[in-house]
Parts: sequence; structure tokens; C-alpha cells
Amino acid sequence: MSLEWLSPETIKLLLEGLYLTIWLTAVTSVLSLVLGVVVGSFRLSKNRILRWSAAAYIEIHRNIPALVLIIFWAFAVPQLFPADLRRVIFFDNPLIFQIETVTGLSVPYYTLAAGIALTLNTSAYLAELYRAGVGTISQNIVDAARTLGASNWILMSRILIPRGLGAAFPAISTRLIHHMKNTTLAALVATPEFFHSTQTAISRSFRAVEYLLLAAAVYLVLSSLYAKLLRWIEDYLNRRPSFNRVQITPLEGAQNLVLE
Amino acid sequence: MIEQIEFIYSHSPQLLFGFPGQRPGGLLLSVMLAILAIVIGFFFALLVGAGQQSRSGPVRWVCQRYIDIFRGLPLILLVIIIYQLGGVRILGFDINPLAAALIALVLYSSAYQAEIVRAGLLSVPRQHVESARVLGSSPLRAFFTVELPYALRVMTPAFVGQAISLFKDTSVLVIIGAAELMTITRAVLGSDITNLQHWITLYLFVGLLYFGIAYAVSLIARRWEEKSRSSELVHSLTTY
Amino acid sequence: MKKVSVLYLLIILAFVASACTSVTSAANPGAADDSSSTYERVLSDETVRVGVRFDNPPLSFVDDEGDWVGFDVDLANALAGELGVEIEMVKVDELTRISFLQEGKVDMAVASMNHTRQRDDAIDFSVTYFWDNQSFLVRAGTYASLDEIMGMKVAANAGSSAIPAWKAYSALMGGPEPEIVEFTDKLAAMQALKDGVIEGYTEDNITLLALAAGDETLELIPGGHNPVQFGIGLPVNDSRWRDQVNYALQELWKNGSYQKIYTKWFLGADAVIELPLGGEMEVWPE
Repeated sequence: MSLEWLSPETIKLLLEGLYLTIWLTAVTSVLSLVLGVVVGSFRLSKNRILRWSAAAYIEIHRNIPALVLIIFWAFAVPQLFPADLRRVIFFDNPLIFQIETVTGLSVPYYTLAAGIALTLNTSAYLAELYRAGVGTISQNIVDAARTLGASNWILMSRILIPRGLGAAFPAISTRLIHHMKNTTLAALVATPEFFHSTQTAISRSFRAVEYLLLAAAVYLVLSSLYAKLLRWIEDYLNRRPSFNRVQITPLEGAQNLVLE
Repeated sequence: MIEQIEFIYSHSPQLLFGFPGQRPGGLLLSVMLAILAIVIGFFFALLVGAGQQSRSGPVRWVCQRYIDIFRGLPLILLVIIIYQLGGVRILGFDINPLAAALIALVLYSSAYQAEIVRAGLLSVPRQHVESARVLGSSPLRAFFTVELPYALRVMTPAFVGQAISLFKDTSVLVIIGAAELMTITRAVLGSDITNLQHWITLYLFVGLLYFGIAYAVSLIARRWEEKSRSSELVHSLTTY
Repeated sequence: MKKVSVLYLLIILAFVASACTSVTSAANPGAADDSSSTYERVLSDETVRVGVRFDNPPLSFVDDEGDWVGFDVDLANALAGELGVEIEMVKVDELTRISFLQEGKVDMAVASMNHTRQRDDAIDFSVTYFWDNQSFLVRAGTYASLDEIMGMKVAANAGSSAIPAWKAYSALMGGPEPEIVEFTDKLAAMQALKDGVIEGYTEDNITLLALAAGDETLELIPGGHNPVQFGIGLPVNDSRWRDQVNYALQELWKNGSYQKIYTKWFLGADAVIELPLGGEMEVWPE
């Protein structure tokens, strides 16, 4: 099998793209999860304004395609600002310079925009999943915890979040893997992640089929590795008592969770 | 502000229906592609889903790999691969962007739908099927008269969710220039530098179009599914 | 269990990839055989499939009414007429204009293709039919010559020949390595230029002039770093077809059709951009 189409510079280019894809996926996954829990909690809040805002946020970022969000953040948002401010805020400020030196990206704002858009998009889905997960928590446990004097904060961190995420974890995993595949869309806004590198490699060597199949193989491996990682995380968390779904009486359960 | 609205208004026929001579296009084509892909994909999903339960090891393996591949690949990559591979020299026949788009969407959605089909069939309570068998019906007849209708009722919300998801995913077809909404948007902006001022309003409008259709359909689906009384977690787990 | 399956997948994909490589390279020498020349097929189908770009004013673009127009479009139509066949235009972009030729999806590509030796490895070209140069579009008053923009952050279209050309030119002139941002969207690149994200945008001068037409805040650096010669892209190793296309091109030049099309787009009163004819087509006698 001939591999002469893979020159050292191309390999370097592809590896750099792969690194950015993995880094982008990791960072935005974590951020989406956190944001998802926050928005999901607002969605469950007694405060009508919070509930409604969260619902609006979720509907907007779920029903608009990720690509449209990405293009909007990357190219349209700067245009909301007058020309002189634009450069200062988006393209020339010290923060952007920092990102540029650390990551080596030429126009860090585009990548930042893609990251923001992807995070917002996935967090909307995760918020709904978290809400559904919390919905499976038996009201008895919550009541028991309250009678034991648990504050809202304890309630959330010891019961709602672990149990909620635990219940919805399979669906969350699916969504996070889909999120990883969505990072390819960032290529359309000049972000040099792996798909973009593949396209560059194709244009330099004129060998579309080989590079595309290579990219396919890479993404398949990435999906399956990410799935494996998430399953490992789920197993690890299931060993800890807070996620454990073993049925015990509500009072005992609340005691364990709240007073440990 | 007026000229922004004017711009959108004057181009809305193209955005909604496509360029004259290339109709259907635009939003209409996005919707049509999603529906077509779901329907055709359903048959592939049945095949693959059935294959997964087959007694033959290799058949099961192939079906499982089919699902792994088309769920593990980003749609944008799949679309480009099919478009590039559909060349005369390699496969022997020619493919235009629209055909490649449809093929890619069918393959992609069929893998997801196979999972829905599997979950749906598994959810049929055994007693229903057993009662039918006890009453003398053959396995095949039991399948069509008992299992399938029950499973379909369970699966429908998930399928609608898939359709909505696929509709949004048609946005990636911009990369091969199939004349759907995103491609038309890009074409409308064109290479005319005076159009730069319309960028925001145009993309806001396009976002609104996607939102409108996706949200409306999801509301209808939710109302329908509330009537079927599926559990909320299952709904969230199986929809987009 | 999952790990083994992924391994199988990779092996299968690797085989498919190598199979495709051998198919594409095997198919090419086959095309040199007269009986399977593209020319025969075009004649029997009575249609020539031409790859044309749609985002490249003024050579091939979609105008306000959604019509596909441009110099390349007119030339392609004239060529089809000269060959005596119908035309079927296929949309291509910088990335697909070559791969489609390799895969046989198009019979020729009239897609502002710069004739380079590197590309000659993958495809063949007709005689040159357009002459231009590649320079930089910059914000008015920022840079006056190519030397000043060396090493700066600039933009180019993904897959453009301007990218390796600018890198080579910078290296040749002893300048620092340039930082090139590759865009897939021309308007996005223009906006980035105007916003100050990038310092310059390099492409064929004709394209830059068309993009910036009427915008006084942008100007073109005079001269250029890469004289370009457009050739019609053709499937590799198919000399019979290449000869026929060349003859057709030369006929258009001889009988004045070429000049008429050129004047319409670049010289006459309605010309979008002023660009005097930069060369002369080679015409061979009988």
C-alpha cells in the first residue's frame, strides 16, 4: 500500500489540526456541561423570569443549526459594533494576543467565536437533558433532605446535580459525541482544526479521496475513543455513593447524601 | 434599516424557494430533503435493524459496523466523501450535489433511525405478542398487526425529532453547493462587496427561518407525544 | 470488543483508500488509449461537461438574477459551440476543479486555473487563454508595494495558487515567512480586510478588482508576485482531447470570437473591470 502522498509537512499540518480539534472539543464540552447545568437549574427555578429566560435560551440555541450560530458569532457579531470598536474588541486586544501566542492561531477570534457558538448550542441540549434527569429524582428524597435541614446549595450539589447528571448520562454522552463531530463546522470560519487541515492538504496535493478517507478513519477513531472515555467516566462516577442508584429508603438516602 | 428590510424582502423568494430555474431550492429544498431522507432512511433502518437481530454473525457484524460508521462520522465529512467518490472513474456514474446530498442524508439518518427502531421494537410488551400468538396468529402476522403498530406509536416522537434534527443538518450542504437555504444565502450575498452591510440581517433572517420551522414542528410533536404519555426522560433521550 | 471492531474498520478503510489510489492512477494511463479518449465520449454524448466556478467575478459568477455569467462562462459556451456539442456546466470551486477532472466528473474545467508545474502532475492544461498577475488588496494608504506587506498577516482563498506563490516569492526576496489565513468565503475575507483583521488579501488581480469595485477604502498594490496564465483544465494524459480543445480555442482566437468576449468583459464601455489583454494566444498552423 502506497503512502507517498503523505509528506512530512502534510502530517505536521494534520497533527496540528487534530490537536486543535481535540483541544476545542475538550474545552467546549466542559463549558457546555457547566452552562447546561446552570441553564437547566434556571429552567427548574420557581422564579418565572429565570424559567422563561432559560426556556427561550434553550429553544433558540436548539432550533437554530450549529453552523448558522457559528457563522453568526464569527462574522456577524463583530459587525454589530462600529468599525473603530471592532478592531479593539475582537481582533487587536491583549486577550486576543494572549490566545494567539498560546495557540498559534492566526485569527483567534474566529476560533473563539466558533467555540462560543458550539458551547451555547450544546449547552441548550444538555440543559434539557439535565432537567429531565432531575425529573427522575424521587420527590421523597428531596423532601427528606429538606426535613434534615439541607440548604438549597447542599441540595443541589449533593443530590440534584449528581443524580440528575447520572440519570441522563447516556443521553449526555451521545450529545457530547455529536458535539465533537460539530467541531468540523468551525472549519468554515477559518479555524484550522482537523477538517480544515484535511481540506488544505487536499488542495496542496490534489488527492481528495485519500485524505478524505483518512479523515473519515480519524473521526471514527475519535468518536469511539470519546465514547469510551465517557463510559469510563460514567463507571467511575457510579462507584461513588452520590451517583449510586441503589434503592434505599428516602430518609436513608437523604441522610447519606446530605450528612456525609 | 429600510434598505436592510428591502434587501431581505427582495431576496426572500430565492431564500424560500430557490433561484428561478433551480426550484425547488432554499428553505423548501431543506424541508423536502429532510422529509425524503427520513422516509427513505426508514426503510434502510428497518433493514439494518432487522439485520442486527439476525442469527447470522457476519450479518449482525456488518449491520453494527454500518451503524457505527454513519453515526461516528460528521455529516459534513460524509457529504463531501459521497460527492467526491461519486465520480465516473471511481464508481462509474456521475453524481450532482443534490443526489450526493440525498444519499448522504439517507445513510446518515438511517443509522440513527436504526437505533430508534431497535428501541421501539424492544419496548413492545411481551404479553401483547404472546397473546397474539396464543390466539393462533403466525409470527409474521403478529409482527405486523401487534408489534409494528405499537412500536410505531412509541417511535413517532423520536422520528419527528430526527426529522427536525435532519432539517437543521441540511445547513452543512453549503459545502457542496446543493441549492438549499445556506447555499442560497451565500449566493445571495455573492461576491458583491456592497452586500457586506446586509450580512447580519440576512443571517438573522435565515436563523429565524430555521428556528421557525424547527420550533413549530417540535411544539406539535411535543403536544402529540404528551397525548401518548411517554415518559419525559425517554422523550429527551430519544429526540434531537 | 469495541477496540477490535475499530481496528477492522481502519483496516477496511485503509484498503479502500489504497484501492482508490490504484484505481485513479490506473484509469489515467488508460485514457491515453485513443478509443477511450474523452473526445470520443463527448462527441457520442453530444455534450461536454465543463467545470465552472460560480463565486469568481468577473470570470464566472452568479449575478443578481441568479444567472450564471462571466468571461469563463461565455468562453466555455463558445468552446462547446466550436466543438459542435451541447454544454453542461458543473459547479466547481477551488478545491473541486482539479479533483473533478481526476475523477471524470467533468471533461474540462474553465475555472480560472493557473497553469503550474505542480498541477501538471495531476491534470493537463490547454494553451494559455488569459494572462494576469496576483497582487494584494489592501486598505487604502496602508501598503504601497509588495516589500512592505511581506511577513504580514494576509488572507487567501483556500486552495488558491496564490498561497504557495506568495510563500515562494517571500522566500525568494529574503522576506520573513508570511502568515496566511485561508478563507472559504470571499466576502468574509473582504470583511476581515476592512476590519483590520488581516493586512492584505491576495488573489488574481482580476478577481480583486471585481470584488473591490466601487469601494474606495480598498486599493490594489501595483504589480504582482505571481504572473498567472490561465489554462483550461483537462484530464491527464488524454492528448487527443487536449488537441481538440486547443484547436477549438485557437479557432475562437482566429475568428475573433475570443476578442469579442474579452472586449465585452474587460475592454469595452460596459466592461466591469479594465484589463488590457496581457498576452497573445499561441496559434498553430495546419
